Amino acid sequence: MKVEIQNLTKRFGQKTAVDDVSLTLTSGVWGLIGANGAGKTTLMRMLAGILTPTSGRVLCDGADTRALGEAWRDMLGYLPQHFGFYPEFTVADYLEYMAALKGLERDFAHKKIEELCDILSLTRVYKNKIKKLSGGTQRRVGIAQAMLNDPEVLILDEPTSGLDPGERVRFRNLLSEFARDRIVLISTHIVSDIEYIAAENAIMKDGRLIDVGTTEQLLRAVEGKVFTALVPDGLLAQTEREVRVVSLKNEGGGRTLVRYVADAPLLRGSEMAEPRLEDLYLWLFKDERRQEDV
Amino acid sequence: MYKLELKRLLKTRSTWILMASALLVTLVLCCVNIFGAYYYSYDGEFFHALDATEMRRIVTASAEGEWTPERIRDVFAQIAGVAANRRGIAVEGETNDNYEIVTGGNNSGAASIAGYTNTFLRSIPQVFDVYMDEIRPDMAAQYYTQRKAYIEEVMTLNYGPAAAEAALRLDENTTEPFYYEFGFGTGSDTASTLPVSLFAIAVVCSIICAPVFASDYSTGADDIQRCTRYGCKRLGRAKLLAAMTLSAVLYIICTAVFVALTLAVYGDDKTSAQLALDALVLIDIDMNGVLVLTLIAGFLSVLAMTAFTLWLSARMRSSVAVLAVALAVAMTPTFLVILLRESALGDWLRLLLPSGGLGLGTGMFVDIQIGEFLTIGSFAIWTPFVMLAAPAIETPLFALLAKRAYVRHECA
Ligand SMILES: Nc1ncnc2c1ncn2[C@@H]1O[C@H](COP(=O)(O)OP(=O)(O)OP(=O)(O)O)[C@@H](O)[C@H]1O
Ligand SMILES: [Mg+2]
Repeated sequence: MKVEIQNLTKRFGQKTAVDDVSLTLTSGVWGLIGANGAGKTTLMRMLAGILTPTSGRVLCDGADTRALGEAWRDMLGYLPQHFGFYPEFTVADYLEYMAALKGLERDFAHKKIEELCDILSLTRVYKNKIKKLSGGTQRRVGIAQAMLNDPEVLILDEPTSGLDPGERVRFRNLLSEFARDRIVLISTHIVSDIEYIAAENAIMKDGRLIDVGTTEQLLRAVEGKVFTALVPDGLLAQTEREVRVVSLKNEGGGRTLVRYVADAPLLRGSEMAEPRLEDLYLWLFKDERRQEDV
Repeated sequence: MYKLELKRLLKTRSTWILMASALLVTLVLCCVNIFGAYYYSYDGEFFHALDATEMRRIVTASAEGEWTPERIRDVFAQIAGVAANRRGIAVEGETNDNYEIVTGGNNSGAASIAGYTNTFLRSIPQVFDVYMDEIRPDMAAQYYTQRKAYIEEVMTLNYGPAAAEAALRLDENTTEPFYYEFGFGTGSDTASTLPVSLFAIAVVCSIICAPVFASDYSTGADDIQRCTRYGCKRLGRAKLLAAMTLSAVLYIICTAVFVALTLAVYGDDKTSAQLALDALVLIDIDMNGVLVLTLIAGFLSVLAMTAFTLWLSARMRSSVAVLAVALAVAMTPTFLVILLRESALGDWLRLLLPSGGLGLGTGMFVDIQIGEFLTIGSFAIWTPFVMLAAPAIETPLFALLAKRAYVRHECA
């Protein structure tokens, strides 16, 4: 199972949302990281086939997904960033409706719905109207919907937004089990999620794919560029202006532990730290912050 | 898939509310018809609702049967006899309205002709180019010949010789002598309430269908559905068919109720449309036929409006915008007959719209009696035909366009 994205480009008028992206997805969980407006959603929509690319194509085991049509959609599960549903539907109605759209057999569908509701803690709200559920619960209904047909390619656009930590852990476990011989592509702003789930990551910036690799491979880019230093509270504001701060942690005694990324240690008493994806993210997207500041 | 979609539509509370309101409007109009009827008799008595209908039935009993030239002559002689010692002809108890009642003198004479005056005073004198009291009995006996001349004259004047020829050719099949009996066509106000009811049904169908595709686009539900195996072509087709079915069923239920009530109160009506409506009815048809034709034209138009609304819905993201356009189109024929009455442009526009057979002051009931033609060069076609043909063509056309628009839709 292999999905190849070849030179995918999407322009909206003057704006190039996705710019010549090529990527080969193989089994496993793929994390798609990028700032707001980087083009993640646009890329995923093209993958799902609901947006026609300006140029480029997507191949599934060598066949163009546009030509595959129904067969491609049959192996697809998709959760869009904005989850839309019929307001009159209950969770049960909705999942049954989607199962029918996916052409699932009745018995299989029932078993699957029960199973997913159990894993995603939806059993209690099964008979409730979706519109009355909380945002995080709605999100889980969306995830359940996407996984109904045991998709070989699962595309989830920010599935973890709105999930509480407990649910997030359950979701991670669900995915890592699920992705054994399947392709799962998730986008998220919660970098720690990807760190735990994703085997491989793709980083997008301004519509371009700037880096692809496993977390370890990617982290090599910021190896030796992450530091921590204790800074007196009085200097904090100035420090924040001078360096690229990842996190601040109040250590008491009028001092704060500052974690930052830079080419070389900039603060007195800096110690090198183990890099994490969050550091990489901030390192890669450091320009954006500067622009905003101007 | 189709069943699922139908079930989903029926699960929506607003669908039920709308369908119920269409039925309510139909019932109200029926009741207006039945209970709004009144009748003044010559002796100053006032009848209301069912009594009025009963009275009218009794009074017009004398006019039932075939109207041969001899009978027309005899009746006109009788009218002239009564009129000779009075100051005019009394028309008693016109449907829901009462023309001049001649007062004074002996009412029994006037009462004795009331049954006739009520029945053909509109369409028989119409073909003679003189005042009512100038029509002598011998002249009246020439009614059928004069009617043909009248048709030729009016058509030539309005639409040219091609239309006149087409009109006379159509009219060749009319059965003479004309026939009269009491029924919904001559005894009720169906002609003005039925079109309102049909219009209301069309509006409700549009409101139900406006969100079918558009709301999925705007909520984002479409994004998810489109990625499923059957979410594209099949779902598009199922949604279309389900919405069309709903419209058709709603139409059938509402009109069935209307017709059942109307027939139950007034009875059916085999009166020649030429007598009951207008001398310019050009085909061989009685009032039962006119009713059936009106219902068919209404059905086709409602389906065409539904398909049109669905097409808009498949193209636009906003249900409100869809509804606005659909309602504007639904109302256009009504405005056109007010603003552009008897202009060729107005007629073309009105009839080619999917809502061509619907509206107030327009529709089959009207078009069948006003003798209008659409002309291109030497080709002329009677408007009721267009009213049937246009929606019959437009329904599948818009349905196909809607499906195509849905399949190709992309939230840009
Ligand atoms: N339908 C559209 N019309 C015009 N521009 C669009 C459209 N959709 C997206 N864009 C633009 O394309 C760019 C990429 O948008 P996209 O939604 O793919 O970003 P994203 O990475 O998903 O962002 P986020 O993290 O906020 O979800 C943005 O600049 C956006 O303004
Ligand atoms: Mg996005």
